[in-house]
Amino acid sequence: MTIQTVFEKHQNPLISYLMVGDGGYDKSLAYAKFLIDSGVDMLELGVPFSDPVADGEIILKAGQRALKSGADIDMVFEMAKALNSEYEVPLVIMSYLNPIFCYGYDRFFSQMAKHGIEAVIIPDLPFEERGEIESYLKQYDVKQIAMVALNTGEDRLKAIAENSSGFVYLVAVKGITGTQRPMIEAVGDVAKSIKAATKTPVVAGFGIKSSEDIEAFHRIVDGIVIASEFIRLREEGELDSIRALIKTGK
Amino acid sequence: MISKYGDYGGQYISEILMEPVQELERAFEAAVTDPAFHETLKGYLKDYVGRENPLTFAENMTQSLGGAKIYLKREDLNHTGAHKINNALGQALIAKRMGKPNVIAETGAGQHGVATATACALLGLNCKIFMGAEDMARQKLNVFRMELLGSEVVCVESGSKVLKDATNEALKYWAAHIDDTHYIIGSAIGPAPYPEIVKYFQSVIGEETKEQHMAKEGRLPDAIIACVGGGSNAIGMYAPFIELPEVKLYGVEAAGMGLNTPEHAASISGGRIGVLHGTKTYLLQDDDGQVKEAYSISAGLDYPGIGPEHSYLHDTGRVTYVPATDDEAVTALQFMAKTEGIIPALESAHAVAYAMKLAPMMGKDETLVICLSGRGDKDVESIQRRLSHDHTDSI
Repeated sequence: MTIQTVFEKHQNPLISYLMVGDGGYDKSLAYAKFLIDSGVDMLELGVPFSDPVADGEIILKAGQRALKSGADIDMVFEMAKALNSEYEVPLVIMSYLNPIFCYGYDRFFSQMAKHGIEAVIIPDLPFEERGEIESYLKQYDVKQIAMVALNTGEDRLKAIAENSSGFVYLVAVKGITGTQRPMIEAVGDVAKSIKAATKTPVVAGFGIKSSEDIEAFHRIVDGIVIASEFIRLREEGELDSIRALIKTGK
Repeated sequence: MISKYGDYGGQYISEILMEPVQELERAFEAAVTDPAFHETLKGYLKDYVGRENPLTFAENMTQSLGGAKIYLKREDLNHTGAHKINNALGQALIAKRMGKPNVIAETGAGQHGVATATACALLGLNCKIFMGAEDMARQKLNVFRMELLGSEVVCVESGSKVLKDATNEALKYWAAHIDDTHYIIGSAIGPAPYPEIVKYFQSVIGEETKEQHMAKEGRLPDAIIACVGGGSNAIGMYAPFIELPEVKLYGVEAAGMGLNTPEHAASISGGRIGVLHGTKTYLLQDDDGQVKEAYSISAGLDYPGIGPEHSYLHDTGRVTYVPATDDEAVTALQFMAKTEGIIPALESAHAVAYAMKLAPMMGKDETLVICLSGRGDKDVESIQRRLSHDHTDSI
């Protein structure tokens, strides 16, 4: 299944995220399967990084646990292979730039293509620096998911939206992951501006926690991402709460 | 404005920080073309910081080393005891122009934190300083100094609890408070336009040196040495000389326990290219691109990256970057204290250490300028501990 068919088939797709290697490879693979079995429509595979400046404590600590267990980009591809052999859900890689840069751009994007991973999210590679990987995206037919923030100016927003593919990731807080409450009204306004400039679906993420959040976002965007809250619930052993939230999201 | 130095530099930051750095760029460009801003800055630098500071002829060192004439650029005589105040004050003035009442900064040893706290006290800005828990334990007095100056010191418990983690937390806090907060980065690092801004405010070091050397010797210096962590004193010192190839430029990185050990902070001599804190530059990292903790006896050089322009100046060969170990720096500090009656900061002592190698190889008619970026008062206790420890070891 492609990212596009997910948005065609589902009214409000729910995307989740996991830090590959958090708890060791086997346990994180089991968690990925649990998320998909519970009804997640798309999965972001997170690459751990020592200095995740867009993330709050929850993802930062998940990354540290993953690094301790020896997680790296090859482990991400290994997990992608395992998931693709069982499921049709599209996978997206989320990574800071440095691990990809050190892995080697050509090697990384060719591996993405080889494993049928359609898109990558790189939180510290803004539109202005797209030249860094643009030629590889073309060569291997991989998408970079664009990010828009609540303070993104009009001109830049238009340029970002017009060049977007897959989906546009709208950061729903003024800040980092898993800390603040999402600003629903502001997200609605920015989502409208994005939609005026592109047909690419708009997905909101950062700070989404409750069934109330999910319902509110369903009215203003095409899909949502829940990351930190699920990691927190998993840490506390509350898998049932995760399953229940995913159900609300359907 | 320049955002890349060859392939280095850039703006590798999250989308939410793009607008604030662009706003900063506009504010900075407006400020530097405004004569009133120059007047204000000049006034503070003269009457508050105590500039210009001297270019001291180090006669005893010169005789003892038996080569080039050695001059010391005395940033140690600035208010707060180091070059950091030049940038902190300049950027605090920019924050005021932008109408931002709150300032944040990261600090490792506490020098940039103290300088920023000082500038904020002077200009009536609220100030929060992010500092790793490990560094706070090592630098208790500087924590207290910042608090005396009216700043809040935020203890960073995440990651390895040192400077790079304090920088991460400052960036995160900034992302959540961009409307009313300016982030004063203390070194020539970070996303564009920071490296250019820091270079601009620190270039007063090089400009004064050039004039003073002209007045004393009637010509340009033959060689200049500065220590490099992030590299703010060095880039400020080099600035007016970069286009003058007859002046040899040297940058001294902290080699800690030695480049053949994991315990060093030499990003160029012992690192590889990568991306951290918004910029592409030489970094200490493992094969997977995970950033390593840096080590040096001098906390001010204890950063796993280096300003992106330094990476460029290294690749082009314009500047020669060399390492100096902890031992060499401590020996140099003692040498300078005894010969000249000046206790340099441990950071600056790395530059002195290389001068001790270079000067004897130069002719007596040549001159060598050392950027004495800060004074050593802050290091006296740790030097005492180390030397008494060495003494015990030898018994």
